[in-house]
Amino acid sequence: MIINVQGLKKRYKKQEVLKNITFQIEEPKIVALVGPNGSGKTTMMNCLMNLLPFQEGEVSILGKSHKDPSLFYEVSYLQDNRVLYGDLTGEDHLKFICHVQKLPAVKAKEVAEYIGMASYAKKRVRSYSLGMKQHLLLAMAVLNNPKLVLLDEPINGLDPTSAIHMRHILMDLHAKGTTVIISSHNLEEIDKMTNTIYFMKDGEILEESLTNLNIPHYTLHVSEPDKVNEIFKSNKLHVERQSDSFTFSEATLPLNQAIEVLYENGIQIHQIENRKIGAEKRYMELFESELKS
Amino acid sequence: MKFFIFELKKTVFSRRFSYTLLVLFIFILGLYLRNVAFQDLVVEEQERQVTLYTQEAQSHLRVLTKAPETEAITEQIKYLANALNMLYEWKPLIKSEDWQARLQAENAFISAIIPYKEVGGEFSLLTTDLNRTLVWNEHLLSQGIEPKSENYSITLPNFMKQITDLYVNFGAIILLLLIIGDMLTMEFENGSIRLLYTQPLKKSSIIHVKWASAAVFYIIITACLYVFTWLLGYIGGKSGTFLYPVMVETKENISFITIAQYVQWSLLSTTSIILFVISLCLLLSLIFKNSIITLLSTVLILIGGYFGMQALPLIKNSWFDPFQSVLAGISIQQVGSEWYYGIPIIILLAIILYWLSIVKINRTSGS
Repeated sequence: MIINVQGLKKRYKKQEVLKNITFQIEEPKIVALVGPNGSGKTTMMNCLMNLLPFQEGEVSILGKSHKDPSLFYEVSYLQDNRVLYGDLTGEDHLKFICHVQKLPAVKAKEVAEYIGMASYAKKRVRSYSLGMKQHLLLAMAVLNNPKLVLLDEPINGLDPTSAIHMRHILMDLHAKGTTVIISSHNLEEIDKMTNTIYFMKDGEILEESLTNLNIPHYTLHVSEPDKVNEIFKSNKLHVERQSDSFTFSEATLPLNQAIEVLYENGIQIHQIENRKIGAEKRYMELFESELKS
Repeated sequence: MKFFIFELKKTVFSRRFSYTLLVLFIFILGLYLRNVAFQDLVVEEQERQVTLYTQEAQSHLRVLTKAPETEAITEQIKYLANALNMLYEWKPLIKSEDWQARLQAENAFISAIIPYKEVGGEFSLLTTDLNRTLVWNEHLLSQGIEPKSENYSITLPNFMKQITDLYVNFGAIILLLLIIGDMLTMEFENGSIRLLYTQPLKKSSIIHVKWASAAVFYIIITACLYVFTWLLGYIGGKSGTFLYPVMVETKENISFITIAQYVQWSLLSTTSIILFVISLCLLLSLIFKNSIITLLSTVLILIGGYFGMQALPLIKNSWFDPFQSVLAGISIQQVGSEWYYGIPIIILLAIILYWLSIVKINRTSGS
């Protein structure tokens, strides 16, 4: 289990800003938190990272309590660029992270090159553009090869080139087995990089949706779902089960292969749904009333 | 260790640190140049003073001679005439290189004016000030040390004493608060504390590192101040002696320490209060998370503590007066060799506040 959140409730005075948040992430994926301003995305991330106390609920990350500081050897949190020190260089920041993460200092140089910030790493942060600061934050976040990285609106304000660059880096991280939780208002980028979206409103997760990623997602309705579950598991095929149906992405399991496996095992497929729900379309459906107002 | 260096870099590379040091250097240089410019004025001022004393004595003498003749008036006229003669002898010696003759002449005047005042004669100089000057001059004569102007000296030891006076009497506290007073509150105000809180660090290590780096900055400021003062005094100044006396005036008597002792003792005393100030500032930073409120509270506690204790005669400058080092120079000139009595209590308080800061940060969230 990468992250397990049960019944998370957070109140500021009498106002409940997080209402019984429950979700689990069992395997590496890119999850987006999407919702209007004030929906509780940043508050939830801060609670998960033990930056904010909460009144009720339990959070465990990588099997540890979210309050365990050793967690941050495996988890990174990319916050807004106010956390940077303007009088220091990017290299100073990276070397500091190397030190606290007990990594060799040479790693700072490697990551600066990987992220594409080597040319300005020795300049003071106060001279950086927004994109440069975001790249530094990203470099700091990936320095320790985290198993989980949370990013709070990393794309906002970036020019298209920087946004594309950041997306590629995040997808590269995911390919290496890192789970990425990202909050963003850039639905186009979200659509292109994430597997799952948690739509949030008023401190609640309204819906967990799979994204199309420009790749189709399928839901198969089958006979003998328990047997099908066993078949997928024995063949090490990644699918998500919802009672008598199974959902998967074309990227992780081509539809032909799924049908073939089930056919070989004598399973009858009742229905195949092709789920292509774009983030923007779904957002408009969910927040129609707010968009109208 | 690298966390500590990272913390040091944050301040060293800040513009505020550079500007503060620059202002400090300009201030010391300005003070030194002022002293150089006022060298002639010191002699002129002394000459003017003697002229004023002479005019005052002549004026009183005229009044006394016209007054009805009584035994008291006759006695006053006798003493005042003697003092006036001493003033006539003193005046030509003011510009003289023979400083011993000058001091002796001044003492002769004082010795003559004191009995005049004792028999009811009027004179603007206070008896306590006259006695103090008499003791001071006698000490200089017995030690064979040439007197220097207290406010306009360009000899290295005396100029260093002048700088020390400013530094140990709240100057060090102000400088330190200017440079590091917001080192923790700034982290909360900018949100950068969240970077530290999301690293595999114990929260208490933030307090350890902030405290240590503040202490290092105090050492850096002190070293810069004295190196620059020494350079100025050494290159441009006149030779002097660190055995030059500093008067210590307790309730009972007047005694003397040397400038060397004064500088050492007042710096040690100031260091103890600085350790307290750092701990206090860190704790208040965690409570208020606001730079201005933290700085104002720290200064108010120190000033209130100092004057509060001064108002309590039994506690003032005793071993349980933790605030006597706030104005370390003044305290030393009041207690002399007992200057260190207040240090244990201030160190104890610094440790308690440090511990409270650790407890507080462990209960503090990142926002």
